[in-house]
Amino acid sequence: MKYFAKKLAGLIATLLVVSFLVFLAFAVIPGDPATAMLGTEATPARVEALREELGLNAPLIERYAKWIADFVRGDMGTSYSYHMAVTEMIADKIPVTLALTAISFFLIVVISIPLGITCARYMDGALDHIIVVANQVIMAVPPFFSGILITLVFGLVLHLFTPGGYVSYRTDWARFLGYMFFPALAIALPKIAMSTKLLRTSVLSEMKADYVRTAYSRGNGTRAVLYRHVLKNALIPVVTFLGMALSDMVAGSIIVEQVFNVPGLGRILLTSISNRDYPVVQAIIVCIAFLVILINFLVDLLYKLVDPRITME
Amino acid sequence: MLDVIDLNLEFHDHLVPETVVYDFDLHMEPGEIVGLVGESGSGKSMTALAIAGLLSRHDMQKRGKILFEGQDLLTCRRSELRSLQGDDIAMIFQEPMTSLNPVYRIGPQVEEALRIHSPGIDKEERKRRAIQMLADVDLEEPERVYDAYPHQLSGGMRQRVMIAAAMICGPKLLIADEPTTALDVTVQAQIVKLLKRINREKKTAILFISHDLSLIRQLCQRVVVMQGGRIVESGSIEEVYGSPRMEYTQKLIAAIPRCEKKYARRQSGKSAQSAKGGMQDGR
Repeated sequence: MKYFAKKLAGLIATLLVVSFLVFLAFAVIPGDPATAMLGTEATPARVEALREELGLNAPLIERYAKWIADFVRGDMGTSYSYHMAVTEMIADKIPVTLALTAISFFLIVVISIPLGITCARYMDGALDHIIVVANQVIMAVPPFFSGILITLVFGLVLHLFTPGGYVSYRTDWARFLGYMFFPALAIALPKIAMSTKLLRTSVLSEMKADYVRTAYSRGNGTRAVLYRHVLKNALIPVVTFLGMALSDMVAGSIIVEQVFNVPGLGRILLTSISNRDYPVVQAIIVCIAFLVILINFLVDLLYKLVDPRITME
Repeated sequence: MLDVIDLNLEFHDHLVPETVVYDFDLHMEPGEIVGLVGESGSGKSMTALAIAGLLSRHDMQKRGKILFEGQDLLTCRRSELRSLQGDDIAMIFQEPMTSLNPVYRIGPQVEEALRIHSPGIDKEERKRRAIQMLADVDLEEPERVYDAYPHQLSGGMRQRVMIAAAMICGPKLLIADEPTTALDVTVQAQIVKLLKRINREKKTAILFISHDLSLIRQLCQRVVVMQGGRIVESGSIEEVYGSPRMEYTQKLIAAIPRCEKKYARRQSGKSAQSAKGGMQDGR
């Protein structure tokens, strides 16, 4: 219980710091929402009037305090550019980004675990060599570029999906997932390569452990030794990596959403930054930070499941 | 029961092949305790691993025969070897701290050989037998140990768990590779006592590997002395300790700390006379 209380306190503190930093960043960088809203032709008097109306002339701390107070009540403010409640704007974008991240994560787990074990089992075999080389190549390709390649190969050549033809999850779940598979693959590919490589190394080093010899001495075959004994031990460093990868993917899906024309948090975040639409940016960043911290917390719990030697204090 | 004939183990992981065991011969009767003694690097652990079927390195050549109840373990199919491992031939190791899988509870690890070799036994019965086995190796609160993780137990307790796991299928041969080396002296004595009792009650033959001659003397009926991969001397405890033929054996015996020698002398009343002569030679 103490552990959870401590984690919760950490979560709140992190969110405060992150949101304040975003506030600070917008105070420092050039650009003004009032000008952005009215255009460059607007008279200084009108700009000033709008600034006053939006409360932008108040000191930074005061604005931040007001924002926090509203946020706690569930009011994330009103978008400067779209004149609608931020909550409403991002409510149906969050599931899209979450689905994208979840599918990517699923792909990483189901592909890299068997692949890593196979590589380790047939170390220095032809398959292992092919996978190791392919891994090096895939690791070096950033997701936005693999996204373009996937669009070209699977979309334009093989016609497996229509590039840009996003289907909302509200319309058709199956077609939504079918479309999302491809951006998710683009995000997952480099992580699959890294995770495979990490698991391969981890399995190989665990295979030298004494408990493996004990397992063989009880009549286990190599397959049973790998899956029943080695895998759980070898997963410990991989869980660390997957936790970091997952956090990275929540934040990193922004770019791939652009490539595949997916209306997730990423697209709205980019538009809002260029429009100096503070309330929207602020809300999205806090949401992403919250997700990242939540994921880290879940990873901590997962650690405990994988490795009983870890105590939660 | 066990006949090792002309066993040669050769590593081919360098340009020049390296032989680690030369022409090793051993005969063991059911229920017998044989000690295999030698300094580090003498090839005793390699021999033990070969007998247990645990040397499967591709860069290694094994010649000779290891006949277990007439079946040659060096040439039999892997599936045949696996059906013996953990069932008829069990092994315990030097490092109780790392020989158990750290991420699983003790229970499933003790039961594992039973699960593999007697799949007909249901879960409850397996658990009952495992807890009984943990009690048999003198672990207090066996139910609690059953649910514990290895890191929650001391080294001595873990070695007892290893012994319980090895004994769960009632093997005919238990290979103990330096099982007491990593333990402190009082725990060593307890483990030796336990092995002796297992041998007496369950008639399990034990191949006890150690570099500690005083332990071998307490436990074994026969001893094989190895040096540089070869057998230099073998015979009954009384023969080898009483009148060692080889200078190497004499030196090993001379290296036993003196107070233990007195204790050992008291223990083997029968051969006290001849043993005294042998030990004094070394001093």
